[in-house]
Amino acid sequence: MSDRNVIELVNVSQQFGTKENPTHALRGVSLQVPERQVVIIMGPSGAGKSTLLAIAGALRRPTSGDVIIDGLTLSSLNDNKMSEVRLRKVGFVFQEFNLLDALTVMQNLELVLFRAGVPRKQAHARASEILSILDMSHRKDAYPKTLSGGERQRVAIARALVNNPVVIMADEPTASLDGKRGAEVMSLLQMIAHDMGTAVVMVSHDHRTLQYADRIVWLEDGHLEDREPASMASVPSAR
Amino acid sequence: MILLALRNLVAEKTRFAFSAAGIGFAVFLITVLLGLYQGWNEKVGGFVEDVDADAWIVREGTTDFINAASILPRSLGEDVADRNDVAGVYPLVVRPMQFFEGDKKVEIHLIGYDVESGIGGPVKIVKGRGDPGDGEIIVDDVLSRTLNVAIGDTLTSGDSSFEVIGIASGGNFAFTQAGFMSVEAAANLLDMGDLVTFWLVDLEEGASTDTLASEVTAGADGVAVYSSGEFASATRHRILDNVIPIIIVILGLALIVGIAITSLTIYTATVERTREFGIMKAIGFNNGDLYRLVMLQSFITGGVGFVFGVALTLIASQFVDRIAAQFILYVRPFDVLLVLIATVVMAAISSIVPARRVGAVDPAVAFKG
Repeated sequence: MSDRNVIELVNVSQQFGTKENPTHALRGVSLQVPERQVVIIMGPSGAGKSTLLAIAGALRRPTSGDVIIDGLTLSSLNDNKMSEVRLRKVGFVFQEFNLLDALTVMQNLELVLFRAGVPRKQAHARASEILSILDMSHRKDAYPKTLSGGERQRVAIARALVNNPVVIMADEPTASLDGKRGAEVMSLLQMIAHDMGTAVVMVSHDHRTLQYADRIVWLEDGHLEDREPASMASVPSAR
Repeated sequence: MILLALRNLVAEKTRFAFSAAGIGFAVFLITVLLGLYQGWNEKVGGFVEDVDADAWIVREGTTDFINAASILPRSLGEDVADRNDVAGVYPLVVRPMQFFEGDKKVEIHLIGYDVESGIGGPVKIVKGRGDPGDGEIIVDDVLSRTLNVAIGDTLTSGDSSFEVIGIASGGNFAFTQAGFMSVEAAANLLDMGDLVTFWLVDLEEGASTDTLASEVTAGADGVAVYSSGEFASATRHRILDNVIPIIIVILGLALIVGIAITSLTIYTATVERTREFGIMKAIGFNNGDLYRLVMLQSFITGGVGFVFGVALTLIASQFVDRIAAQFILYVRPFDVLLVLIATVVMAAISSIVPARRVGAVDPAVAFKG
């Protein structure tokens, strides 16, 4: 039995600028991402990769087309429902980690669970469990600024996972890390997809990440197409 | 959320301290003004209420006790004393006067009273004697403190001199303080002959002030009769109605200053954390959550400022009247509650603009490195 699609983009277009002088970031893009899959989006700088990630992650509404996350069509939802989708269905991992510096590692995770209405005791247990899986229990009381880059990204991944989402959206998660830490993070994301079933959609310019991908898609001039890993060897890393 | 709001605020300790102090001073100013008003209200009318009489007979047109332009004949008191519903009638001579203690000017609100009954005299003797005879005077303790007038000192007015024999409390009218002597001595000093300023009436049990008023005013031209409460209230209105508009204007200014300080603090903290608010939106917080966070920050700042401001007022109220006799602070729990409401209003208004800004934050800002 094949894995079900957790995200579907149907003929999605995104246009910026004025009517007279429009810029087309996406032109009728369609994409299906099944659970357990690691999808890496690549493309030249300014091709609209982050825009695609923002639309697929319910952060932004497309100019036209539909986005379906875990069976929910986003165009029919108001802003508060979109927030709920991001809270319960999508986890985000950012290039700059984006943890809340005022809170400890544990509090960063608990905050998301409290927002989802999880009672204090269960929230603490769930956050502890995720930190244990990601081998970060020993830093649970540390503040983000005292952590290394690799540790911060692990905490960011823990935060993304804590509400048990169907998909993780990652925006260049290895860009701020050295090679070793980057590889650790990619192994972690691959484990999350393959072992835990949470799909991973990530934007990357780093060719070393491609070996972890189940699927590579190329975005250029607003169009999306699948690429074989072998064909990417000749493409230079670009931002 | 509370923890996050608190941590966001204390992340910039100096700014938080300055803004809480700013609100604290606004709260201090508001509480002091309310306390000052209540203090004046208490002192200005308090003496009239403390006089052990049921009614005051005054010259028609006399509006209050402090600015007393009342002159009544002694014969009126004798007539009233003959009434069956009256237990006693007592004269009072009142006038603001300037005395000297050596070369030092001593402004006194002179009250000449019936020493035998004590009605209209000092509320409480705190030092010395309370039965002034010829050439003797009792002064208020605030006057004694501020002008350094002590028992044994001599106060002169023209050719007359009076030895201070006692210090009394309860005669501070905020803007002036009382000096008490016998009604005969006061009348002689002021050359009033058979005239007095007020007649104080003690009614028989069950007798009505209204009946006394209607019958006395019908029988004597140009007089008015007030109950003690009415005369105290009239005195308060006469004096305080002049300062209320000033107090209201300063209260408004204090509120505006408080709102401006809180707004600036919360707005700056919000602008600096725009990206953080974007991240929170990205991970599932909605505008309502973020409005609450901004309001919490505003209320915490306001709360700390409120505690600081009220504490400052309570400390000030312990000693400020020793610096300026007119500065009588009377802080009632009800006024503290009013100031708390004002602080909540300040905090709520202060969070409106920052909250609107948070509402406009694009969650996709979290993707920008």
